[in-house]
Amino acid sequence: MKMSAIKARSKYVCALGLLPLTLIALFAARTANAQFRNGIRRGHALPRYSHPYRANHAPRAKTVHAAGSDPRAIKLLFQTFNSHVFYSGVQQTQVGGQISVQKVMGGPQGRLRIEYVSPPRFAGDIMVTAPSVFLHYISKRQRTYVTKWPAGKRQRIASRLRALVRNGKLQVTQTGWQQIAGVNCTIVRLARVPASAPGGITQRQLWIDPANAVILRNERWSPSGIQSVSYFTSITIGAASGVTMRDFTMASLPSNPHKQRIIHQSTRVMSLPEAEHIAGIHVLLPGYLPAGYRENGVWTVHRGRLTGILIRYSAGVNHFTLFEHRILRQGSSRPRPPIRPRAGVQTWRQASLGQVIAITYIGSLAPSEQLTMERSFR
Amino acid sequence: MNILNTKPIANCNNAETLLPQFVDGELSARDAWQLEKHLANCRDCSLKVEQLKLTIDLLHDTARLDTNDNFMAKLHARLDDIDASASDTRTNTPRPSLREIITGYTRVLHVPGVPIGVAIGAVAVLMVALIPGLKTTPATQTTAKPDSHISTVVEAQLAQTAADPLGDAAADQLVVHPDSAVQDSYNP
Repeated sequence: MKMSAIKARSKYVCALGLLPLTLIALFAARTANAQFRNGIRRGHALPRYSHPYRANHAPRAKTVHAAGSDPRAIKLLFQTFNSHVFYSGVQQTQVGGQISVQKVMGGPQGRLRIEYVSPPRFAGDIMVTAPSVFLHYISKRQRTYVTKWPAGKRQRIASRLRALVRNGKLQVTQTGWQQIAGVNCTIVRLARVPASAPGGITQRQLWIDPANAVILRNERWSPSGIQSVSYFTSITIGAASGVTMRDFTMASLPSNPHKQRIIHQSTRVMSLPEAEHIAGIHVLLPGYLPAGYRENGVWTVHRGRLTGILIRYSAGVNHFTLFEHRILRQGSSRPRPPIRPRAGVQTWRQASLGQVIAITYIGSLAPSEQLTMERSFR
Repeated sequence: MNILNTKPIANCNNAETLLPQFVDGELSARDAWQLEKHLANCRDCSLKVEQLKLTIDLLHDTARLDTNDNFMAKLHARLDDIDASASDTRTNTPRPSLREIITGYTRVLHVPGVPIGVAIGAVAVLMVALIPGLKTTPATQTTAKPDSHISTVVEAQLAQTAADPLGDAAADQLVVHPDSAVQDSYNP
């Protein structure tokens, strides 16, 4: 064989040998490009993050780690905030010796509709919670109260809870399993952890359906014991529930020609002095606060001539509210209704810099704590 | 052409008037010769000649659309109809106004028009005022009677609880409205 022919043949062999290598390199490059398209590696779960370029617009489920808390319980708790299932059922609520029964419907983003069946004084009343509005239809008054709040309020509350858990001020643990209305539920305990009680003081116990992230039983606790409990006696989850988004709108409420729509506007302000400036009153503050409670926010509430200041105090996930406003008219000739003791709502009067201020307390503190606080305003 | 016979093509305006005839070959030999001399020196006019020739060629290449035999007859008939209806509209008397109608009726009834109008208006106002069904009631309206302050703050509190993912508005409702009838302890 001539040398020139051998050289030419070796060139062809080299070229043929390079061809498969080139093809492999091209295939690898294409696969890598496809896997990392949009910055997300394929074959892995999409991050739950609200981003315009991504298909899943659900908020990112931030991993929260905290000493003393159970990561699985934390994950399940925060999943309930982003639950997207529809459900309906019958719920029973007990506070002290009082019981109420409601037909409850739930939907995405915390949508909730509560239709009262009993007791008779609430029968026919409807509460609707939507992402930025709370509607309360009171059947006997033929009125619908509308309270609006800025969008994202629910997310802000969730962020505050995350911070409490992360800082170790709130402990979230899984304490067991139990069936509620035929659904297997995980029991999650939320406890405030003050320095004096390392084991924590129970504030909530939640029975959560892990499959659908729906709370089926909600127990509210105080240091003195259980305060209230709401639980489903029957529930249908999913499309079979027959719940639609319309059930959480104003249009779904009973239409009545005499219906009055009352809108309360509450605006969160940065500080108490700012609220005082807006409302034109000098706020009286309690010198005594029950253990663990601190100011959690100040709002100005406007409706008609009334401009008042609402101060919310929190300890972990428990709250109470003080509402203060100036008394516009004194010595009204209209006879006042008799004052009835109501554990949850108390109204006190105090003089302040030439004005008379009405202080309304709403909460679930013990009577002794209420009394001590009432005497401490200054 | 007479113009060309008397004087040569001095400017483009004169040449432009002769271009269609030139392209169609209808100019005399002398006029064509003079125009050709102008085109040889004028680029704009020679371009115009080229464009004109191209346009004519395109029109020649376009397929002809044949119409029915009676197309023209139908077209003329329709045009005649349009013309006739237009003339009818012009000849019709205008619609009488409301005032003319009322005046006509009052003449027939032998009563003056103004009192009749006032009476009709008064009856309409009375009907709206006295018949409840005719009143327009909005589905929702702002409250006329001020609500108690406690109701305001109770609703604000319920709303706060409802916005809380761990809140229990049903329990709060029992707390703020206990077993006794809902009455405000203070109502200024």
